[in-house]
Amino acid sequence: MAPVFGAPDKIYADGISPHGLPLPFGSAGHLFGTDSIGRDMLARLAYGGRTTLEFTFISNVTSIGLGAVVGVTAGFLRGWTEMVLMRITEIFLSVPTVISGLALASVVGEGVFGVIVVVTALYWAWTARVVFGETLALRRRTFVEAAVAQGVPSTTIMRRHIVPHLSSLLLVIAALNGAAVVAIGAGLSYLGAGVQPPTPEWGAMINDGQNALQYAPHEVVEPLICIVLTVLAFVLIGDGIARRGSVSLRRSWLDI
Amino acid sequence: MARYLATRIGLGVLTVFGVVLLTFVLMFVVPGDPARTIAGPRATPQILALVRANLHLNQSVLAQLGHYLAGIVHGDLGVSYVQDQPVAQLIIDRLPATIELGLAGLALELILGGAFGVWDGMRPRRSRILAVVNVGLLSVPAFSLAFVLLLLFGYKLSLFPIDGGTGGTRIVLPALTLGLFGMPYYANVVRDAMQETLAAPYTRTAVAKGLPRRAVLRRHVLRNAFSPALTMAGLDFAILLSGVVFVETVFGWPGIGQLQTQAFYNVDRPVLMGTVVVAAVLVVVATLAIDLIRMAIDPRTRLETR
Amino acid sequence: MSTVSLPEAPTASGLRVQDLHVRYGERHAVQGVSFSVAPGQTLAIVGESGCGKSSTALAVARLLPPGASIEGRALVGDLDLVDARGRTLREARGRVVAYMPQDAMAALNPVQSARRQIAEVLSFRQGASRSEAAAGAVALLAEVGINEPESVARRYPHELSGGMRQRVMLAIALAARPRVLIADEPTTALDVTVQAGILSLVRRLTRADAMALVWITHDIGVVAEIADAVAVMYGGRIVEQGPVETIFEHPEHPYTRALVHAPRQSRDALPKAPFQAIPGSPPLGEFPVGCPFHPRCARAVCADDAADAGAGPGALRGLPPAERTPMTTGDPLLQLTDVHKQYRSVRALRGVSVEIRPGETLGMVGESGSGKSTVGRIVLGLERPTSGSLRFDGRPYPRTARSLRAIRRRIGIVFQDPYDSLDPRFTLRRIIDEPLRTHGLPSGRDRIAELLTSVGMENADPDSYPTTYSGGQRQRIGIARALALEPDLIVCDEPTSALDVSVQAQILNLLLALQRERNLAYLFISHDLEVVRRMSDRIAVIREGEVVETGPAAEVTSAPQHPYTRALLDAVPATRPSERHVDANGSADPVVAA
Repeated sequence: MAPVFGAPDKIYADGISPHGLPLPFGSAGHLFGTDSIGRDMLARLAYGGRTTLEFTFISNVTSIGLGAVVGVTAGFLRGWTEMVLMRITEIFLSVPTVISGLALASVVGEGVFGVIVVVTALYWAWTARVVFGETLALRRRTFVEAAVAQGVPSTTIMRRHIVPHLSSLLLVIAALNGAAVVAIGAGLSYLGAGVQPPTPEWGAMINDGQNALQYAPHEVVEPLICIVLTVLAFVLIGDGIARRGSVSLRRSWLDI
Repeated sequence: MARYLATRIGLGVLTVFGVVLLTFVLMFVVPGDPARTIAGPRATPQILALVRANLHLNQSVLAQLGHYLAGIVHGDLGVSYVQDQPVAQLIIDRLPATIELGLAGLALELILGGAFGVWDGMRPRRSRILAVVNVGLLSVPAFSLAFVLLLLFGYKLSLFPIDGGTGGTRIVLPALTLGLFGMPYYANVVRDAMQETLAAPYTRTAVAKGLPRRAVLRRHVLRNAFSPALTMAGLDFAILLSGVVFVETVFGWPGIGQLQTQAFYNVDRPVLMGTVVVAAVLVVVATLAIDLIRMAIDPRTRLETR
Repeated sequence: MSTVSLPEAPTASGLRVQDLHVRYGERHAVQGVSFSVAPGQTLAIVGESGCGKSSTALAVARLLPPGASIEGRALVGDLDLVDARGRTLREARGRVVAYMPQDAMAALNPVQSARRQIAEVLSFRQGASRSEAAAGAVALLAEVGINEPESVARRYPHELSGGMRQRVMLAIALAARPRVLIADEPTTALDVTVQAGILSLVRRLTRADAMALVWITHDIGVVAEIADAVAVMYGGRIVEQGPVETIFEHPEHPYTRALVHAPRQSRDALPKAPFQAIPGSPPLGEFPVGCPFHPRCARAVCADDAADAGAGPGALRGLPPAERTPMTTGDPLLQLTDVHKQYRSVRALRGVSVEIRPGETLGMVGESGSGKSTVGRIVLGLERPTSGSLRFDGRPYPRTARSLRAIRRRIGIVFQDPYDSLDPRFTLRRIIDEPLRTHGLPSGRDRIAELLTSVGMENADPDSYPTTYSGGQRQRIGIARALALEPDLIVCDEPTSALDVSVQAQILNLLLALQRERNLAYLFISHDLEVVRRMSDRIAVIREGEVVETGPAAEVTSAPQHPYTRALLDAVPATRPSERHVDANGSADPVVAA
């Protein structure tokens, strides 16, 4: 990326204007302006994007993977398994993400790895609960009973009958979860809990720039827009998949 | 009913206990030196020795757990060595502010989201504008939203005071931020519920009685459409509190969210963990309250009385 | 308690429908239907799925979904319902025409009490005050035969039984004293005994109030019970209509003949004799041009004149009655002894003892909630009995899931729901394959083809998906799956209840043939006493978790010992009008609590 965008940590001599202020959007040589210590915004935004995508992808996979396994197992096997697993899920769901995120981060430590661990721990439970509910419904379908009556082992039923019917739900979850992960990652970094300097990350950049809000708003606004656009992309994908699955009837008896 | 309440409270206690257990593990078991974890990075050796004595760190893990639990039951969440005050006191001082903001935010979310959802649900075709606004709001994370409002109404237009502290119109911007943050979720739920209700056979029955549109809406459709929104409100209370943290931080609202971010900055672990426990209790209580309200509104969710 | 004056019954006018057409986009669901009903008279519109009878009903009641288009006229006095709009239409709803749907649970507002939903009509139409309307609602509930109307009025829909909900719907429909009542299969989902009560009730009330009643049904027995006139629909058209005696004694159209003769022939037939079946299934999408029945008709050209009215049912392809296989002797294959099953607060089974011998069919007949399905589930190992013993082939049922597999190899199942019992994401091959692979049996292409052929699906592509097949075909696939392991016993849980009448006979014949070929034993569970009689060697009648009577099929149904069995037999609808239990004014309808 360096050849294209330039290095994110490099402090450019011409990055500060004569008055000691950062260069605004549209300046010569620094298209997106610079931050308060003269680093090029565009470079930082680009590298920040890479960081964001990295931890988003990994966190998404781990949290959904863990959540789905727990949800399907609890939903299908029921009994003690359900009680134990869903209690644990409840516990993780009952603390607001940021509050526990900060607490957890203080123990786990910083950096991208820390963020991944924290986010996985915070988000797996939501997927687990949604998948649990859906599994309960699927389990009552007649073809599942047929499989049980034929003596098909439980794990096989879960694998071949339940999970395939969850696929479109999981896709939607993946998209929406991805959106949430980006948001919480940026949020934690903003609070200082996630990715550490000098690694650029959009949330952290907002934190850096908030003091300069009055006279150099671009330092906050640019990363903000990046975050919003990324989340937007995920949301639209999720929305699109969800809409494709269900036929929207849009029929109202008030119209007859 | 008594049995139901007892079960719910029992389960709630179990959940909080689980949270407490986790925080215990995070504070005492995981880190290298629990004393340093608890006292903070800037503690002097004297403080460290004090901490070790107070918390019985020489004893077995189980004994420590016992002391910890005993303390919590008595409302003692430990001491913040960074701020030199009992944690419980710090939290209690700030709790009312958070609850105030939380309730205001929830109310706004439900009202705005509900109105939006009803309107969108009634339209024959999905309105482009409404969809865009909805998705747009969904995509803006809480703290970003807070910033936007801060910029616009706080700085540029200077409509509302933004100098920290509670009272007066200071609640407007933070509550509005929360309301807008949660609005798209509720709008979606209400809209889906509206569509389902409008297409339901019992709506057809109401129309078949010859009732005019407004009566059908008011008496048959709206109540059924809001029930799922209430269910969601219960489930998502935790998310609401999450948003509260960001909003408090950006606007300087002195609640437990702001306390938590400060504690993180100061590496004040007892406060961090104590807040987690209190938050868990809040969520459990709020969920139960919302479930009870929902049972009052929707008879199907009530318990079998026969 | 103030007396409520319900609205005066306006002058009687009856219903005249002329050249009614209903279209859903491209689909022409109702093609030029005309009929009339005099005040106080009952017209039954009978047909199978997709024939357009429901669309006709909804069109007259002006309750078609948005997007459907209607043409034609539906006159009540001077008012044309098809034409009515806005205010006129709203005024007509409930007052001129009322509608009673099939699914009362879905049609009632779940968050309002029964009283409130009935009272709404009274307060809206009459301007009655809240207390007056409430009292009126209770009075109406009494009128529709509900015991303890005060207490029932307070309840919510999910707290009522199926029969009570349907009576509440009736009360709502009648509250504004309509001139025309359209009843759209309201008793299809109810037990036979409950159905009988509602049939006579509706008959009596519409007669008394000079209401024109249009009753939609697929059950020819219901038609025999309550109709004054009949319209037979097939493929979007009325293929024959006339007074009920004429239709039953001198039917002309081959389809009518098939429908009308079937129950009679069934009553005359012995247990285990083959059924008379109409090949093929009713058309759902495109309707054939010309007489819509011709693809299934044995006569290529449908004569318009009633020339061969005297001949037998020409449309049917009859199979010669087979020799009855002698009942096998030997030790019982399946033995239940004093089986109890308790769920939390409900005692589903209270000491059930039955046995099935190899090669025989035990028919288990009961109404909803009787526990018959629970017995089936316990036999399959899907539930475990709370107490009592189960023995298969002399050995007790094992406890663990793994050891149950050996028994599951020898017991197959055919479900009631042909749509949900096959995984829509599985190809036919995988569906039939699954039991074979689970038990390590050969599952090659040949085996699959062999199984499909044995159920009459030899032309089905094994790599196709169940969604491309009709209900009857899917049920055949389910049977092929059940046969795959070559079981000794097959549990048939209402295998034909969800199928059209004309298709049911095909499936039942298939089951009979398979039994003869392979010496299969069946546990045949159903609520339909007549079908059970035809299919079984022995019958067990079950009620509220107890078996009240067992014995050979012919004996139990001709000389029942237990009063409940007698009540079940009495409730079975008549095969011809002259045998009906409900007289013209509605027999004395016992006020029922459920």
